[in-house]
Amino acid sequence: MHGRRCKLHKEVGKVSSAQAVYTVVLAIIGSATLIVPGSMIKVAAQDAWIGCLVAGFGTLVTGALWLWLARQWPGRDLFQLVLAAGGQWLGGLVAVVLLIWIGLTLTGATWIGADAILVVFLPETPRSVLAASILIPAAYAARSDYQVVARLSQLTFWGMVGLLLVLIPLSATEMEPLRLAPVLANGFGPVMKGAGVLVGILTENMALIALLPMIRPPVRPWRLLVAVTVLAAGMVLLLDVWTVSVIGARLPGRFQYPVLLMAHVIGVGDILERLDALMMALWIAGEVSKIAFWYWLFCRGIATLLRLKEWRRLVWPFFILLLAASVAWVESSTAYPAALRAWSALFTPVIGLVVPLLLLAATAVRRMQRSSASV
Amino acid sequence: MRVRRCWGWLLSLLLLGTGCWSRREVNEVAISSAIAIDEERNQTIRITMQILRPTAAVESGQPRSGTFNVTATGPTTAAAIRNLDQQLSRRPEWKHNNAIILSENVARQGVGEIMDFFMRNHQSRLDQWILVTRGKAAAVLVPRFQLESNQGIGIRRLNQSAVHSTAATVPVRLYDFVTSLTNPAEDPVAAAIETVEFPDPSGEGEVNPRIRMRGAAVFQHDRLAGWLDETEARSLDWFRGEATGAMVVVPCRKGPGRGTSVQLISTRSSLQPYWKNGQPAVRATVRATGQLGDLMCQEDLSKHEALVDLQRRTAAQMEAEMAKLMHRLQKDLGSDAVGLGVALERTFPAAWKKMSPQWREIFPKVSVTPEVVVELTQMGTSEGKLISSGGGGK
Repeated sequence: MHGRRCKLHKEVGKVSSAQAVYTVVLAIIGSATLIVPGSMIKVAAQDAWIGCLVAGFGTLVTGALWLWLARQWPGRDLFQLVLAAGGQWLGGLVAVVLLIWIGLTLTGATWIGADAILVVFLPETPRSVLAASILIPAAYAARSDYQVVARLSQLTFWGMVGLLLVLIPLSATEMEPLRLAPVLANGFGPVMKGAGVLVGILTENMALIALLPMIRPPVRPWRLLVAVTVLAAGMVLLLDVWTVSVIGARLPGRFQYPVLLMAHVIGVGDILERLDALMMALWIAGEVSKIAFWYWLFCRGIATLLRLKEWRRLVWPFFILLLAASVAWVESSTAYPAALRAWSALFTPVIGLVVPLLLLAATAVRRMQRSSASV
Repeated sequence: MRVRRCWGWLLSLLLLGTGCWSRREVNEVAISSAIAIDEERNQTIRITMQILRPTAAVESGQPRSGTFNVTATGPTTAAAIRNLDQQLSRRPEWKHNNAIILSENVARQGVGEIMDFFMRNHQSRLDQWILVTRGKAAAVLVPRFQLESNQGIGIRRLNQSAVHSTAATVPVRLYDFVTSLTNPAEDPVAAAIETVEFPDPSGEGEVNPRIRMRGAAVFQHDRLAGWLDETEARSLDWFRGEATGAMVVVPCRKGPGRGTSVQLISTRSSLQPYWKNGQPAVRATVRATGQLGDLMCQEDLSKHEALVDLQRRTAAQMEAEMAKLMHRLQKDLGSDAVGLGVALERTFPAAWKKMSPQWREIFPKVSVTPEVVVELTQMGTSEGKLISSGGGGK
């Protein structure tokens, strides 16, 4: 048993394409399912679901740029690819930008996780304890390598899907499809703003590049990108439609975590009621899956950049840093949306468009130089 | 392997440990069943909370009520609720609160600011029932149910049965109430509750105080605009498509008799706005299915034509009641509790944008045409009429 476990653990390339999809989907929406529907409905009202379609198509394009880049450098993971395409200086700079972005993603996700538990369930518990309780299992999974993260994501993904499949029919009596009308009453402006909120998160679909070399048997990356983007955008769309059809478009924008409130509304007789704890448990599992993936990528990235042989040794030192950052990141929940907007406005175009285009250009120049040198 | 095992233990301890941090054992909390909100003369808010009395606290052999009430005042809702702690040895926990009862005085002053607390506090659940009473709200929390251990559960069950049985009120939950409150295209409505004193049926002179759901309180924005009686409340339910049960007594077609009872089983409604001479108008379509409750007229309903006629007369009566309600709402109360504005906004969003600032002036002039279709699907377990007018069996 011991030998078999060790063998599995050490074996490279034991992630199936489905597991890779679940991992990246949760890396995108693991923490977003609680806050993004409310943020989108706040700006796009009942048209938030259209914003999901727009954001989905938009991020398919940015994801395709990254896939195109990965095709030029097959067999490399994200940071190897960046350093190979950009060279020592440009590649190093891009790797640093990516690491800052991933660090912010980790910090933000941990902050939100702790905040949601604090606001909704345990208002007297110190934020640092809640943040640690999310970060520790995530760090443990990350240290156990990507296979463990993928299995965790697989379990969590189906748990979340299963819960939605139960909750949505249960709330059918409270749903009023007319609440989704009128469509496009305020034109495309609010829809585009709503799409902007989601684009900032769906741009994370480029994380697929990090898992591509580990997928066995290899599959067409385009299919995986489409699956990841459609599933992530589709889940947010489903939550948008569900939330608006049950509690309308005005109320969700006033709550920090409106999706959790849906559990207040759902009840079958006097038997199946108060599903808040179940929703929260699965959401925390999604949160841990998301943080575990980005944590793993963060430590791998630093090790690749600094040419360290053992990336696992970075996990616990960075745990202290991330914990401190996630507690001190923003002062209060009122400052959080502003911080998120500023961070998203800066990094979304950089990660989605500027970096892949820059690296594609660098690759083309490098190839031209190589071919002229060979001639 | 040993390191992994250690980590496993540490993780388990961590997960269990965080659950203990903010823990509140059931023997450390005072569980609230219902809350009543009154306003004092000096504009302070009085909160009365009905607390469940744990069985363990009931002394053996001495029957005591399953609840007791505590009350406190404060300048704000949150402060008043916090001041309850001064009288309670346990901390109030109101995640299981069933109902929020507002006094007429509070409702007339405006409930927007009071509702803020219930939408903000993490213990507040959106599925609480909202009710308004004509007198003091605290009076509703005096134990009066014979079959329920506490007022909160009794009020919750009265609301639930109102939907399926009488439709004599408009049961509204917190999330529905606040949705209407925050929407400029509609006005909120809440169930009306009252305390009544029925004489003892045995005639021995004792008075039995009871709680009764009767009618509805309609608002203009966040202030109480007025009251609807039971007939008006059920018409409002028909407009909103929320009542599944109601008893419509249709007068006899000819001859003497008390009337024919038609018990509605389900109603579905839709509001269809249209333009009439350049003015907004709304067609309210209601499709109801029902069954015959009883027949106290000299009519023979075994013939299909007679049944169709009864369906038509029931529909006509419902239409008349709905038209009367609309007149009341438009001319007397000025409250769009039906949601005409929402229907217009959904159907004609561009026109709504223009008319929404003047909606209060436009609303009374909107022509509303109720169109009801009733289908009697069941006649009960007996056929025809039990006793004919001559006194003999049929």
